[in-house]
Amino acid sequence: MVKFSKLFFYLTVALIFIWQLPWCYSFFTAKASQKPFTLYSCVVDDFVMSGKDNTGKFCKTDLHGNLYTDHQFDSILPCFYSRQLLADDRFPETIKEIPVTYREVQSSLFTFRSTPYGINAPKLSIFPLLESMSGRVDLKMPDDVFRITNKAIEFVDAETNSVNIDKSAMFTDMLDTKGFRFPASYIAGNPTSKKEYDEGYLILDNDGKLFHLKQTKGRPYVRHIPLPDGIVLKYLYVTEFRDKNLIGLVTDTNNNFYALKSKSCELARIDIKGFDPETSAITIIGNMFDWTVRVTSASDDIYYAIDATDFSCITTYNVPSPDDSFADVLSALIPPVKIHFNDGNSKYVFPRIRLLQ
Amino acid sequence: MLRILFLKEYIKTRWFILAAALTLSGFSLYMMMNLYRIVNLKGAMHIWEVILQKDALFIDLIQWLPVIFGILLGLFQYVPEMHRKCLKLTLHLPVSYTKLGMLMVGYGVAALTGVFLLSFIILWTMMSRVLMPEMVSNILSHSLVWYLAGILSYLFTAWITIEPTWKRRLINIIVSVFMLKIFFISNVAGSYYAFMPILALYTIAASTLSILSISRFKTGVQD
Repeated sequence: MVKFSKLFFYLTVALIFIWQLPWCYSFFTAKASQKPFTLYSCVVDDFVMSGKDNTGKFCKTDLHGNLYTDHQFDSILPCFYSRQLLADDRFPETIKEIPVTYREVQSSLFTFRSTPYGINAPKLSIFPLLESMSGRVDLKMPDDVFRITNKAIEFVDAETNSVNIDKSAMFTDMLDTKGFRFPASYIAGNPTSKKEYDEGYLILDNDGKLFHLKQTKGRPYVRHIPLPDGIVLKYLYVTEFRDKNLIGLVTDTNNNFYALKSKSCELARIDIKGFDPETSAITIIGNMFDWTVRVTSASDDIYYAIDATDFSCITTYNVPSPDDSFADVLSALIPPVKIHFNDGNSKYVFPRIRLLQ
Repeated sequence: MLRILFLKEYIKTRWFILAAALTLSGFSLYMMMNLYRIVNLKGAMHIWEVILQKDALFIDLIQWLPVIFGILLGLFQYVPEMHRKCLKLTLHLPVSYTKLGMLMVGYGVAALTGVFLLSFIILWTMMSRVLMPEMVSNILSHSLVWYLAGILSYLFTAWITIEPTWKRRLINIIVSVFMLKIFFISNVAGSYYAFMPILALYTIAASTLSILSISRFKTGVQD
């Protein structure tokens, strides 16, 4: 027993060393990383960025090194800075020779973000289903939430904390009629009333079939969205962008990224490579002409300019990784075994051991 | 003999255990009354929304209490032993010191488990009236991490208090602080789900640490 407790004590001390030493080192050698704000400009057909240059001076530039003043920068990003242009009475009548109005441009603007920290997280499989055709401008949270069990969809009333049998039966029947096979393997939605409209939920059933579920005037709206052959979806996002062109964005098991169009319910592949939501963060800043898509993983930081009409890639920009300092090299080598319990890419606490390659 | 030793531990700690049980249960009741008050004022759906959207636990107030009670029980149980040199006498009994140590630690763990169980039952029964079972199990499974930290803090306190030298005692305190820190890295419900079995195994293994201190005490190690 004493031998075991001695061994246990020494193992505990060793664990604390390999956990805390790298943490202390990185705490004292941490550097602020300031990456410039980058967007694709359809006016100059290039990525443009605002941020600090190598000398630490704030500047606005493009990839070719052309410098811009604040006024010029607003003009080459007419969609993103449309409010500023309108305030200055400089909003253009046409962009890329297409006549536009301020209202059109504003309604097409959106931002979308997904991070591994949000994906790799414990989630409760309980969802409020909002009324999407209430006739009111403001959305209201419902008085119940739903869960999908092995046999049915169940609505649980918050006040009584009991299953609403009639509503549950109505929605279960509709899902059954549309060919849904219980239980659901993935459910995605934006369960908040702080949005302009409600698109309900995108759900993958037990067979991997895609369904769109909404509540319209208290009745179930269920639509089966057929998928092209060979595509097995993995992660779903309901977008609810202001222009209502899309229902959502989805990824498949091969890390392809698709836009789900709202009118035709077609999947259109977005021309970016290797976006795995579990390991990569994605940020999209979009307008009616193009999307600037940034995919950041542990090894890469890539910007894609995507055509907003056919989702083809216009151009890409691979952000060069900064040279490792001596402190970085040293921290990678010492100690050869590292352990950490939390991770920037996950909300789960678990021992993660890293050995020196 | 073992029954009498058990009784000795009980006499030493009974008032503290009663106070700990009342305080922890009181805090648990207070938190649940607060939850009910919000339900009455804003409706149950408001609470459900906050749980779903903000990962709220509603029982954060008790997160440090198990650790505090674990430390206090360790001090109540072992400081008199060391101060009045009772441990020296106890070790002269015709029972192996390993068995004696495990009995003392076992008593403390059982007493703490009882105190924690009472609080857990209060939380579970009262929460189940206004929250869905999924929400209750999600929140209470996270509270298990705090209760486990409470038991580990007791085991560490026993280890530190029985240790005969101050130099080693200081090392033990540092080790204990770092190890307990692991239990409070995240307050997201469900974040310790996969880690819990490992932490439970570690806590079981940590019960042997006090044997190490008793062995050093028995061999007469001094500063």
